[in-house]
Amino acid sequence: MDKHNSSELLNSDFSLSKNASSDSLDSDSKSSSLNSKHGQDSNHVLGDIQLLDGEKVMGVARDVTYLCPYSGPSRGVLKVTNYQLHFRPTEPTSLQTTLSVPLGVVSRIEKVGGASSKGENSYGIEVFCKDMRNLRFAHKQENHSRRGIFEKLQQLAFPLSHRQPLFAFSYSESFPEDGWNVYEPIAELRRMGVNNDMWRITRINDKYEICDSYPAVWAVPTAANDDLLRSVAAFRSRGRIPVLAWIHPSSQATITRCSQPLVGVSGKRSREDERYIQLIMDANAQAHKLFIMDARPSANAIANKAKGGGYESEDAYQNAELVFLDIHNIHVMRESLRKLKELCFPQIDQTRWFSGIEASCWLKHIKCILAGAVRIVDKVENHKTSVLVHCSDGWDRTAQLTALAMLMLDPYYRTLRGFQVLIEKEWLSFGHKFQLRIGHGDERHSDADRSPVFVQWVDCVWQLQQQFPTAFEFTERLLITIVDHLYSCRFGTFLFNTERERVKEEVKTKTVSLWSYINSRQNLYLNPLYWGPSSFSNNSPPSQYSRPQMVLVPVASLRIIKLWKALYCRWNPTMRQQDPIYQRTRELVALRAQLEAAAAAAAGDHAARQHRLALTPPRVASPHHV
Amino acid sequence: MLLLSGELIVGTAHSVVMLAPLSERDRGRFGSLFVTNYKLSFVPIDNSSNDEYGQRNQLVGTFDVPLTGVGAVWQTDGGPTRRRRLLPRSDVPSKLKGLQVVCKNMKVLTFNFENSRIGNGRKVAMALLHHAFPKRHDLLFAFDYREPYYPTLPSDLNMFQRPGDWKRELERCECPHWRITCINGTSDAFMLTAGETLIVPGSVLDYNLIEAARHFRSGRVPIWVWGRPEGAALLRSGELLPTEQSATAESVLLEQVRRSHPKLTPPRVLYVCGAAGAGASGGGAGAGGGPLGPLPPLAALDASYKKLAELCTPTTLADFWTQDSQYYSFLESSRWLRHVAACLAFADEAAEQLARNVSVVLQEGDGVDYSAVVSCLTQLLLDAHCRSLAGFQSLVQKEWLALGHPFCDRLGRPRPGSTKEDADKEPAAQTAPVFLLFLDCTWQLQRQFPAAFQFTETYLTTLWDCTHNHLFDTFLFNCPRDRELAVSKNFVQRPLWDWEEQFSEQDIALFYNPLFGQPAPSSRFSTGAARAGAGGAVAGAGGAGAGAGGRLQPCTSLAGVELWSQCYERWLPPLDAPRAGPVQYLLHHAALRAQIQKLNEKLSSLSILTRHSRADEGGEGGEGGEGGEAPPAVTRFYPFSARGGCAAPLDGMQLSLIDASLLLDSQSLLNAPD
Repeated sequence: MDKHNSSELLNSDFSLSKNASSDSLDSDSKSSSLNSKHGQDSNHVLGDIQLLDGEKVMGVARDVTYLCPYSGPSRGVLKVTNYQLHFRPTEPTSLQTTLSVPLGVVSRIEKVGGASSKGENSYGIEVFCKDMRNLRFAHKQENHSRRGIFEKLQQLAFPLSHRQPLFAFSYSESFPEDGWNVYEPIAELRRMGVNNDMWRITRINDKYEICDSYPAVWAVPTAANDDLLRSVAAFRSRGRIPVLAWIHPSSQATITRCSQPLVGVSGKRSREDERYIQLIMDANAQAHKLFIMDARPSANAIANKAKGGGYESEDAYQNAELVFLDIHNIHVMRESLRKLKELCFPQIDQTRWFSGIEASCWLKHIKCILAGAVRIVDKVENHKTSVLVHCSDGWDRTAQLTALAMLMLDPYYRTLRGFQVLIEKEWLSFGHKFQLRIGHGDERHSDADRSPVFVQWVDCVWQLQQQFPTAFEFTERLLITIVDHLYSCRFGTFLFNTERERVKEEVKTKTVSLWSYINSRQNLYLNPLYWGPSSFSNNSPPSQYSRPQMVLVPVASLRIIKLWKALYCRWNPTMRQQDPIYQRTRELVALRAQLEAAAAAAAGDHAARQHRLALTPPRVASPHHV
Repeated sequence: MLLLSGELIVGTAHSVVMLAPLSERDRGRFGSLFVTNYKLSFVPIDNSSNDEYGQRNQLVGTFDVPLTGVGAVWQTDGGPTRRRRLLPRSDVPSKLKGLQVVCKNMKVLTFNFENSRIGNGRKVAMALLHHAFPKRHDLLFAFDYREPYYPTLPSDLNMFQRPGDWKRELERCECPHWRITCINGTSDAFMLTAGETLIVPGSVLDYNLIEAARHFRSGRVPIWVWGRPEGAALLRSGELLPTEQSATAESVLLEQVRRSHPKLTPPRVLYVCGAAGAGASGGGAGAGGGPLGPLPPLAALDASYKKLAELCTPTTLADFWTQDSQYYSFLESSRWLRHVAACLAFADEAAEQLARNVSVVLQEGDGVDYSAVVSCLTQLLLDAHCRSLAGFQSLVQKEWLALGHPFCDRLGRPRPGSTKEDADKEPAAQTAPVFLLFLDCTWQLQRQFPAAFQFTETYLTTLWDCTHNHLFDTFLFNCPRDRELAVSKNFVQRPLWDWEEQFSEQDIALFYNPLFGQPAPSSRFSTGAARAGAGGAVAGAGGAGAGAGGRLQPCTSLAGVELWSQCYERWLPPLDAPRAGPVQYLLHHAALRAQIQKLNEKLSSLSILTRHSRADEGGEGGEGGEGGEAPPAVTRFYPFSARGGCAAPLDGMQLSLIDASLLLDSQSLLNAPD
């Protein structure tokens, strides 16, 4: 299976820290397998555990059998650290190599078989993971090793349930760049031209008193004073008032986000909220209309009235048009992905592959979200109309839609840096409840608040990448790495629910940012086919053919939307991409760079010797065909 | 309109509107519609710059369809929605408001005659129904086409027409234990649908072959098609007939096959399709095909394809989005991708045996359909030569033409040699898109191994289009005998492989995969570091995605195959989008290769160091070369899509047609707290 490693060969000249190379999750779909170490660093003792800074071995069980669904059982040593579960086969083969799983991905752990269990490998533990796989280990009853390991795993995989800190607070590796500096809210607003005539920056929420799930810094219409903001907050669920997400550089049309209005069954109104929405509309001189995109199906929106929520009535909000985008709630999405997992793991169910995809509805949900974002983009870009987006609380579907629409509208977010800013801004600072949705270090695996909302958004980003292969500065590998560390608890980035909590827990000083890690090895994530604004050559006139596409409008059709097999089917060795296209591209790009350097050197050489021009007659160069 | 030599107009209608695909009756173009004895041709009144976009065929215009490419003809009420099938040679009502033509390459053309003179539409429709479905083979336009042909075929293309061609192949494969027999070219011929040259085990006598042939369907005894220098060979044969001695006859021949192996390893028989599979004969037999099982009877394959075609030829936007909402059910029910995956699985199984140096005999029905698919795919997996353009074309010549795949029957054309009366009497031959199945499988391999093939998907799609262009003789006959008979009656052979006959250099350039092969730095350029780097690139490319020994090991799971979007969905404007799709890889890499070539040239000119100085230098523009050559901005289905012909589908259709409740498993989830 050499071919899977070939993609790594190219990367071997990047100096990976010892830690990086031992990290099972840092790699792309090709090697981020159960056997992730294989081929990456052959000079290491095969399979010997590599500890991160701050990582300690907490438990060891010998003579354990790992029951791999693909390559069969293999015997070896199981180690548990405060970061990972590590299994090393006694006799590693090309198929059966080391397994290293961060404990953060563990969703639940169960004992399999009891004292009366007969049959080979029937006694042991099963580990259910958040990343669409299950791991089974068999213990020898007579070794009495199971209990110890099981308890260690329980404690270390669910530290919060045992009043222990997450590993991110022990992890101490330093990187050349501090990823916590990637996102500066003021700088990002300035990039968009705020403050300007119509929008101002306010620190009214500096102490998180108006809204505890919003960031400290907002951009709001200049005409709205602080009193108005306070009154609006009282009428919006959890105080999440409409604030600026993005502003169009030329038309000034905006995307704003918020939560549902507290309309209730009695149909309450708020003059202040109505006036405030009018101000948002007025901040855009190009249109005399505002679209309110309610991400929910209308039935859900109506149902929410019974709980005091609801939606804006077009009677109360003059000039506003309400559109329901029919995206379902977190419970539907969780159920959908669960069905997809059944189809993909451990074995691909070929007998009902396509009907299973259809029955899971996963791709239809993706289509709905993409179509919703396309609608927002259409209003903002083509109709120069501002759009207000909300769902119920404005932290799940709203974040999906605004972040996706911004990605389509603004090429900056399609760069490696810009993408990090986008996640920091639309997801983290606006309080997507990562802790609740992922359940970091929490043993309550069936908690109804868990849901793959963020993963679903990453899937949508992947769909965009697939549709527009040259529009992103980064590859699918970045997305998979982000998903891996969404669970791993190695970095502080995705911990806690809100900015307020992160400030309180001093995440920025006590943990490492995922972006520190990613930006220290960005060459692994760069798309060699990227054709963005930076690849503009200064001296080539930007003809319409070479102008990079500024706005992406994806096709929201199931004929084009694909299942992200590199993520969902990645544990299955038969499903890996055989020959990554980027490998050849990188070779070609490297060759071009060499030739460019050589050409520059030769030209310099030539210039130096120019004055003593040789008198020999010119030879004719034969055109060299490549 | 350009008429070819020998081409005649047989029907004309002016002031016709050709409706934009998937639009209602309000969008379209004015023009004239012609039917000739060669094609259906629409000539728009106004030219649009968009017409210049993409592939241009010098023989068939953008809005032309060769008559053999016409699939079904429908009568419409002028719009795209209400329609009634018009059968060949049936009558057409005098007030024909509209006509819809569904082409065999899944393009749908809809015409409206409401502005046309009364009766014009009917005339065109009648002419089309009469000429597009001829009853006799020699009525096809190729027999009337009078243009002389001067072959300029590339020398590395093996046409497999003469014994020498097969000898070349035997030598290329280094297989000394096999011999050429020309018995099939004599009056003792026993395999009437194959060419005169056959390759058989060195030890078998012609007499044995003639004897054994009686026990195989269509006389298809196992014959050699490919082999490895190590000894293992790939053979194709037909199914055994249920005669008493057939098992014996088979084992005698298989014994000869075993003796042709230097290690005397017994061959393995793969039953690709047919009843024989389960119960059959001797040792070493296996069903293969993985969990997907054997391939279906041709009728089932045809039905499968028709469902696929239905999925890919919606006629209205509403149809399009309705299909979209249940896309995967439709895909599942067509089963097409299952058959694709099964072919790949058989080929992988055969390649596995051959890689272990075990000979493989592919056995199937008449030995002219699936065995050709699997045999070709096996060679593509094992033999890097077949992945070059010339190698691939040679492969098609060998497996499909020399060994007699009945193209006329499978593509639904009249049988050569049969008269009109025969055609009425005989049962209709089984149509089935077997060759398309092969192209589709090849595309799957291309997609899985993007650097392993010299040709692109655009080449494969073009090839599929050209199987419906009967100007060329390549896919015009059922077997070599039919072709020879026609040639003896002054028929001019015109192989398809002369691509310059149809396409410009620019279009042909799109047939070549820029990821294939290795770019080398200029040899004049000799600093050590660069050498080493270039060496690395070359080493990396050598394998070109292949595992050990150049063998490709594809993913044969159903989850690993995909619908060939460029070929099947290119006529659906809502799917087209600027700067989208895999074609971007192609163009970007082509631009990269061009830049590398330019730099190489620049380097070699610099290394001369004797050129006149300043003017030259300045003219080069310094580093201008590398950034300047942007790949052109093209849309997803380039070079097949009409640029600008697509309005972004923002009309809300896509949302309104999804009933939100369909996405739910149960009401309880709907009511769960948000």
